[in-house]
Amino acid sequence: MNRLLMCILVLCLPALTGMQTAPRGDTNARIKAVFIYNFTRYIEWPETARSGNFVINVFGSNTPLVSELNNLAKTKTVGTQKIEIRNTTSLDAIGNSHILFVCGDNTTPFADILNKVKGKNVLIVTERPGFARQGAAINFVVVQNKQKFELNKANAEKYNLSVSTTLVQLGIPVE
Amino acid sequence: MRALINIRILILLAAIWPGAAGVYAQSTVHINAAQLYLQQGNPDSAFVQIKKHFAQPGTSTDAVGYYIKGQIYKELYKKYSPTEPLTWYLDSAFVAQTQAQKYATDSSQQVNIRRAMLFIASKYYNSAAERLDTVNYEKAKQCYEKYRIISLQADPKVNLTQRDVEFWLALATVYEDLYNKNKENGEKYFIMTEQLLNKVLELDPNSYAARYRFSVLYWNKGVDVILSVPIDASIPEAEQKQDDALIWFRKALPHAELAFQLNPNRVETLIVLSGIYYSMNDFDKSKTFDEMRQELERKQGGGK
Repeated sequence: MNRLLMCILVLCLPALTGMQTAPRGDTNARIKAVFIYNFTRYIEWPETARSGNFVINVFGSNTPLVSELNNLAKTKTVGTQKIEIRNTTSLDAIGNSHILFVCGDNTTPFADILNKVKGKNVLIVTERPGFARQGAAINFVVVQNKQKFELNKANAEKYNLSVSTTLVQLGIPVE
Repeated sequence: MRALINIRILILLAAIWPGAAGVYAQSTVHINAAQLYLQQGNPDSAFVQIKKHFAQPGTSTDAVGYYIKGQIYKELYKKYSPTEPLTWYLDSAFVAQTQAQKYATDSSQQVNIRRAMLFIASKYYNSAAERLDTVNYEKAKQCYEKYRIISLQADPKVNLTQRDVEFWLALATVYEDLYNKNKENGEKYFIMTEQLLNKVLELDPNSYAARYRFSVLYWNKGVDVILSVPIDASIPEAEQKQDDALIWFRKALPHAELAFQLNPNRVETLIVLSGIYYSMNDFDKSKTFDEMRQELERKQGGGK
């Protein structure tokens, strides 16, 4: 009887169960972009850095973050400054940035990066353990599966940047 | 001439219905005519004859009559509504066969009745499969329910677990599609997807497909939470959304891990595991599963 039924059931249910439905969008990049935009609100650049475009420079390879930042630049400004997103792998191209995001896979010696931006008004943002102690003002870290950030206020002030107490309270303090 | 026709009918009837000719000698004229019309592909005239047959006294327990009546309804369905089973034709065919089953005494009769019921059931099943899309899924559910009822009537011992699992999984995919098409107002479809996948797991806790679909469903939900964070959200707001998303990622993970245990050779499971860990900011584990995926693709000949 079952064999008969199987013969009659000429149509099988659609083979839908193996389909892949990967989400679109990069979660980590979205959160980092939100944080970076917040940094522009809670950190004050000196008067000399408040003209022209506000340059956010991604140093290394992080396409999803660049994409998120480009979307940010389309609709947001920093004060009256338009946001300009740059993405480079050249050390020579990082000097004129307001925010320098150093990608985690960047192999350039950190000391060389610091030398390159010495004396400029650059907020250095990294995503490698220990970098907030080695010169970065902000270092992204993961705590209990959540994206957070370490803040070294003194490192920000070395570049003549003023950090609000609100941001200090929101970040993980590093000295 | 008429006698010749009747003899032909009796021979025919005896061939398809063992014992019928002898048992129903008292009122064979209309039933024989109905049978002949059926053979000639004229179910409308057969229908008139079967009505006349049942108008006669003493036919209310006539199993053969009900069987033929059921066959006539089946032919009417094929003639007038071959693509739409949710009409009275197939329902009436089933009712008639149920009556036939009730009054049939011969085991060979029961076999034929069961076969007729299973034919009707197959029509509903096939229609359910054809209608499993985001537009016609309600009809698919009705058809499948009728398939179940008729299958169980035909054979109360039949095990429909595998069929139920297949149908509910496919229906869950339809609900998920409906949810994905309208996430703002489609929360009920998300819940319906969850309910169906849970029903599948109650029947078969080792269903790879249910585990996999659950992992994708919850992973996507968590990703949606993160991607709903506006770019100008405050840091506390973004952190709250991360907490909310983590609840979904942590619900997705055990399903993905079980799916992987159940079937380690599925590339899509490794993609999901890598993705969930990435979304949980566990980049080392994400990378591990991504490397496993690449290795598997290479072994399976799909890698570049």
